[in-house]
Parts: sequence; C-alpha cells; structure tokens
Amino acid sequence: MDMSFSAEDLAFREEVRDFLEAKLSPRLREGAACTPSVFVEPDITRDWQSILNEKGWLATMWPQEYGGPGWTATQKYIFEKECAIAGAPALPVLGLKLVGPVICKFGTPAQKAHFLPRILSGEDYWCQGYSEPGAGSDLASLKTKAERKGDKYVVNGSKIWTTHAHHANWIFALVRTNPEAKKQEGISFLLIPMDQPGISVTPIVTMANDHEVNATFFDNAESRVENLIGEEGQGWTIAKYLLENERGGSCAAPALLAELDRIEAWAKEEPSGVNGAMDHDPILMQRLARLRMEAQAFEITELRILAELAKGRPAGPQTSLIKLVSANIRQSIDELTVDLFAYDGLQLPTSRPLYGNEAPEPVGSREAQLALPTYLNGRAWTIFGGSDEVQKTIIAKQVLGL
Amino acid sequence: MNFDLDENQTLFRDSVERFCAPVDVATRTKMRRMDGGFDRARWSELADLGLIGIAADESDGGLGGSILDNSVVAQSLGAGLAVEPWLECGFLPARLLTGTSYIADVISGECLATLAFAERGGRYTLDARAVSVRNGKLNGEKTFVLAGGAADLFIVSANVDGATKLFVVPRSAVGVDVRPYPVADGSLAAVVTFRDAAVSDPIGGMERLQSAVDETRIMMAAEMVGCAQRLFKETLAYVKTREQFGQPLGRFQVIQHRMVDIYSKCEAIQSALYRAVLQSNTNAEAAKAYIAEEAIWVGQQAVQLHGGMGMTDELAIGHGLKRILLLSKLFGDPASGIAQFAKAA
Ligand SMILES: Cc1cc2nc3c(=O)[nH]c(=O)nc-3n(C[C@H](O)[C@H](O)[C@H](O)COP(=O)(O)OP(=O)(O)OC[C@H]3O[C@@H](n4cnc5c(N)ncnc54)[C@H](O)[C@@H]3O)c2cc1C
Repeated sequence: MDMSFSAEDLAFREEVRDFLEAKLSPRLREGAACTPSVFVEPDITRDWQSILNEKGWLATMWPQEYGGPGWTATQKYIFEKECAIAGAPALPVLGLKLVGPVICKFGTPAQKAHFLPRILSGEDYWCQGYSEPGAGSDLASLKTKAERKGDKYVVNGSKIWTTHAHHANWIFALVRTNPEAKKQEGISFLLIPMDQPGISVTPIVTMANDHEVNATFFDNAESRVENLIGEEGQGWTIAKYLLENERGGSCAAPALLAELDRIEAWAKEEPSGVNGAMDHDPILMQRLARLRMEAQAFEITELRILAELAKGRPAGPQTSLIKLVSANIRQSIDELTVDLFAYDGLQLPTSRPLYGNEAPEPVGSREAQLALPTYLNGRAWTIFGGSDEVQKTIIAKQVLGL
Repeated sequence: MNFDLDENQTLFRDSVERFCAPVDVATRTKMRRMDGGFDRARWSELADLGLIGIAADESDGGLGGSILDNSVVAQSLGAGLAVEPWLECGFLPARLLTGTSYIADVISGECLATLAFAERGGRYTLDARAVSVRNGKLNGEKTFVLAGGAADLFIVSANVDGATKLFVVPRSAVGVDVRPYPVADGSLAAVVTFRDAAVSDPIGGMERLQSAVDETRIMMAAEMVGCAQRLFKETLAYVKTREQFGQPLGRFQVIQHRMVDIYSKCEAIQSALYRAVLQSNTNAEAAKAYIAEEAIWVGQQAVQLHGGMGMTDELAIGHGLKRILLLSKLFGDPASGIAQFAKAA
C-alpha cells in the first residue's frame, strides 16, 4: 500500500499547474466561479474545451485510441485536483463523460469515426434523454417509443429534466423499440438529432431561477437507423454502463476540498459582528473542520476506486457510494456557505448570468451573491443521476446482498 | 389545560385561509413580479380584514390581539405561503411604532413601513454602528431592508453617542436612496443609504427594538411552522399519488419512515411554538432557532421526496423552503440562536 507520488507524477503535476496558470483566462475563471447551477453554460465551456482539446487533455475518460490522453489513474487524479484548485470550469459531461465512453465501448467503427471527433471539437453538444414524466427512479418504465420505418426510427413521447437540451444539437435517448418485450428488454439506446421539426423543447426554471433543465417532446421525430447504439433491446445494458460512469469513475473530492479552502479564505474576510472575522467563529469553523475530515476521507475512497479501475476491474455498484457521499458533502458545503454570509447569503438574483458585464451588482461580495442559488440548485445533487434513496437501494442489494 | 383555538382565533385563521386560498403558485409568481414584489391592493384587503390591526394595541386604534392571536395569523399565512409581508410590514412596525403618530396609517394599510436595522459587517447584531444620527441628520447604509423595494416608511436604527435609537424616515425624504434587490423568498429587499436625511426625535431605543424583535421572533417561528406543515401535507399527498415501480411512493418503507420523521418534526415544532407563545419565561430567540432548524430540514425533505418536480419553481415546495430559509436567518440563524440559549441557561 502506498499513496505517494512518483517523480514522474510530481513532474506531471508541475506541467499541469503551468498549463493551467497559462491557459485559464480570467474570463474562464470567473465563469466557473460565478455559475450557481450544476452545469456551466456553453459560452464558458466551449472555450475551455477547445483549449484542452488542443492540448490533448480533454477526453480523460476515453481510451487513448479515440483521443484520450492515456493517463494513469494517478495522472487523471492529479489533473482533476489541479483543475479544482485552479477553479477551472467543469466541462459539459453529457458528451465527454456520458455518451462518449458509450460510443467508445458499444459504437460501430462508423459511429466512432463520426461522433467522437465532433464531441472533442465541440461541434456536437449533447443532452441526455432518460427520464420521463412517468419514469424517474423507475427508469425502466419509460414509454417514449421508436418505431422502425425503413431506414429510420420514428420517435414519439416526451422526456423531462433534459439538462441543456436548449443548447444541444443531439440527444441520446432511451426509447422503447419493442412494446411486447419485458420492461428492460424492450429498450434501445438511440441518438437523435435535435434540429428537426418533430422535437420541441420547453424550459423548466428551477427554484434558484436558473434555466438548466427542460421538457423535450417528440412528435414523429426521426433518426436514421445507423444512429442506434448497439442492438435493439440492448439499451438497458448500455444505460447502466453510462449511469455507472455518471455516478462515479471521476474525481469529485478535489473540487469539494478546494471549495472548503475557499470557504476558509472567505471566512477570514467575513466580519463576525462581534470582533474579528468568521474564521474565529467556533461553530462555523467546527462545521468546516468536520466537512474537511469527511471530504478527505472521501478523497481516499475515490482513489481506492480509481486504483481498482486502473487494475482493469470494473467500476461496478461501488460508484453508487461515490455519488451518494459526494452529493451529501456537497450539500453540506452549500449550507455552510449560505450560513457564512448571513444576510448577504439570502440574496437570490433573478437574472443570469452572474458573470461578465451583465451580472447584477452583488450585495456584499460576489461569493455571497452565489451562495443561495448554488445551495438551491444543489438540492438536485441527491436527486439526479439516481436519487439518494435509489443509490442506497442499489448498494443494499448489490454490495451488501440484502 | 387546553390547546384549542378560541372562537376569535378560529375566525382569524379562517379569514387568512380564505385570503390565501385563491392564490395558486402561478398567481403567486405573477405577484412577485409586480412593483415591489407583491400586490398593494391585496395588502389593503389584509388591512381591511383587521389582520394588520390585530398586531397593534387598542390604544393605537388596533385590535390589541394577544401573542397567541397573532401567532395564529402568522402560522396561517405561513401555511398559505402568502407573499404579503405581514411579518415585516405589519406585525413588526405595529409593535415598533406603538404610541406614535405613524401607527394609524400602518394599520389601515395605507403606509407600508419596514425596519432598517442590518448593517454591513454587523452580522446578526441589533446594535446600530455605522448608521448614525448627529445634529438631526441621519447618515450611513442599511442592508437587508425587507420589503425595502416597496416600503413607504423606514424605521431606522441609528447610533446616537454609542446608543441605538429608532428614527422614522419616509422613503420620499431628501437624502434617502433605495436600491432594491431580490432575496430568497422572491421579495424585494433593499440597500438603503442615508445622506444627511433629516430626522426628528427618536421614537425609542434598544429596549423598544429588542422587545419588538423578540415578539416578531415568535411570529417568525409561527410562520415557519405553518410553512413546514404545508410542505408536509403536500408531500404526504404527493407520495400517496406519485407512482414508481408500479406503486405509490408511499408504499416504500423508506418513504414511510421518512414521512414519519417529517411528521414528528412538524409536531415537535408546533409544540415548541405553543410553548414559546404560552409560557411567560420564553426565550424567543432560542425557540425560533430550534423551529427554524427543523423547518429547514422539513423543507429539504419535501424537495427530495418530490424528486425533479421539487426542484422547480412550479410547485409550492421550493417557495416554502425559500421562505423558511429567509426567516431562519432574520434576527439570527439557528446556530446563533441556540448558542445564545446555551449562554443564557
Ligand atoms: C437538475 C436536474 C437535472 C437532471 N438532468 C437530467 C438529464 O439531463 N437527463 C435525464 O434523463 N434526467 C435528468 N434528471 C432527472 C433525474 O434523473 C430524475 O429526477 C431522478 O431520476 C428522479 O426521478 P423523479 O424526478 O421522477 O423522482 P421520483 O422517481 O418520482 O422520486 C421521488 C422521490 O421518491 C424517491 N423514491 C422513488 N422510488 C423509490 C423507492 N423505490 N424507494 C424509496 N424511495 C423512492 C426518490 O428517491 C425521490 O426522493 C435531472 C434532474 C434534475 C433535478
């Protein structure tokens, strides 16, 4: 057992630091820091994505032959950690982290050749069509159907909570291709172009005043048969593979720890109202310290899983634990931030974006202005990608054998 | 021993329920977009129902309602998720302005008055520091002035030779600058700056402020209890109807147990409220802090159990949570309130 970095790892870390220092412009840093929603808007991520793509550091989840950087698990972790410390914008995961790896694993050579480079270049922007009004936690009960007609599928139904569907030109969707088959077996994984008359997208505004998710309707929408991933009926297997990637296989802890460091810095600036600053407030600082212990331990849990993956063992249901733990730490961090800023932490701006020239003037600091919308949007961490309750059921069944 | 509402209290509750009933979430959202963040005509209606007067003493032309009477109004407004700033511009000013010439217009709904107390860097303290009065001139900046976007009259705490005094300043006075900004519950608070604004004699000092704030803490607690119970009811109805895996969510044991926890918290905070209202040696700050902490948890669970729907601004759920969050921090947050209780005990 050993947790130390080799000389090469340390050199790599220097390289990453220098790169971030040189390439992360103030605009990108501001865009990342001043995003209260879960996803960062494409006006910010596009630029960062193309910088990383040029360097070959974009598709960290992909095998090298398709454009991945060919890093070891340690390198991947170092990269994520340094990005978190530097405050780099989170990349759009839907293409890079979700559908990309699926295409790498299940796609035909033609699909790989067509889609993968377009994800890297940013030419295609993806959204995820899994959930439906009647199929949330019980995803397998989805009803949106795709009927094969000649060389096309004709799609009817509706998806909901489609993040960034209003930005996307492609959606990867779970559709029912065989209504007779058993629940899971009738499902297929279909890629559908968004820019067509049969698809309409309507916004759903969150309680934080952000427009991130949508309802997406399919009314005789079409997609060519070559856009089916895998085979008809294989959708559920593919969906589960994707969800495991969505839930784990990444490095969430570095961002959590970096956020705690930022809170500590802000606490030094925040007057306690009595004397001195909030970094001397015993209650707040105890909460901070406690969260740091949790996040530090969680970081090791993540590294343990990364090490497993590096040995070629599958991510498996432990990824549910990653999703569960990180979501809860994140929400506690958001609560701490709101509490740090007292009254200023209660402002809730209605306009967006909160960066750039159009941003409304904050009351107090910009960090204070972001605290509450971040907290409110952050309630979704324990809901999307499989809720806490669903993750616990998975762990109970598949890990604990209950 | 009797915990039933009396005849008048029942009337007040019913009257608030009737007042809130026609406002669905969509209407509520429209009201929030109005000038000032709510509908002034509805404010007058509230006044006409005697629901502002209930907070004022009979000697001031009010109904002289008891703390319990008022808490019934506050709790019912909480359950109704009312956008009207009854607490901020009704109850609190009625308590602060007692015995002054301003009170009549506050009771009638003509004048919307609000307390400007918070200062940058002061955290939750009630002491006035940077905002001061010298030679009849008021100077300095107040923040988090609730309903500041709509208010006609500011009751301003200001430092006079080291002591906190309360002054009354019309919004229209020379030297008053109001910068509204939206806060958690969708209302418009404001940063209010005074530059040599003329003031006359103070209407009182820290004692008046402290006692009005303490009474208001009870009303905040009551409103949070109302909000939490509303969210509980809606969530209970939701888990009975929303089906996943071929059955209502409420059939899953995890959900059943969670609902019981929520129910148990709601009962506990109702009791804590009654205790605070009915006992003379009440620590209002501590009661409010405890109730706030539990109400926040109830609000978070209500969101969680609604899944994606709970995240939207289309349901009452998020609006309830946001109002609870705002109240949980006004005049001190759960941590500061419970710490104060520990010290006092
Ligand atoms: C911000 C946000 C972004 C999202 N982005 C996307 C996206 O891009 N694409 C996409 O397809 N989906 C997306 N989702 C949808 C998300 O995956 C679903 O919201 C989630 O799966 C829960 O489904 P639901 O909302 O229908 O809640 P429900 O399934 O109705 O669940 C409601 C509550 O009941 C609980 N529950 C359900 N079943 C059980 C059970 N058997 N036992 C115990 N408890 C149970 C849940 O945990 C939850 O607390 C997003 C959601 C949010 C909030």
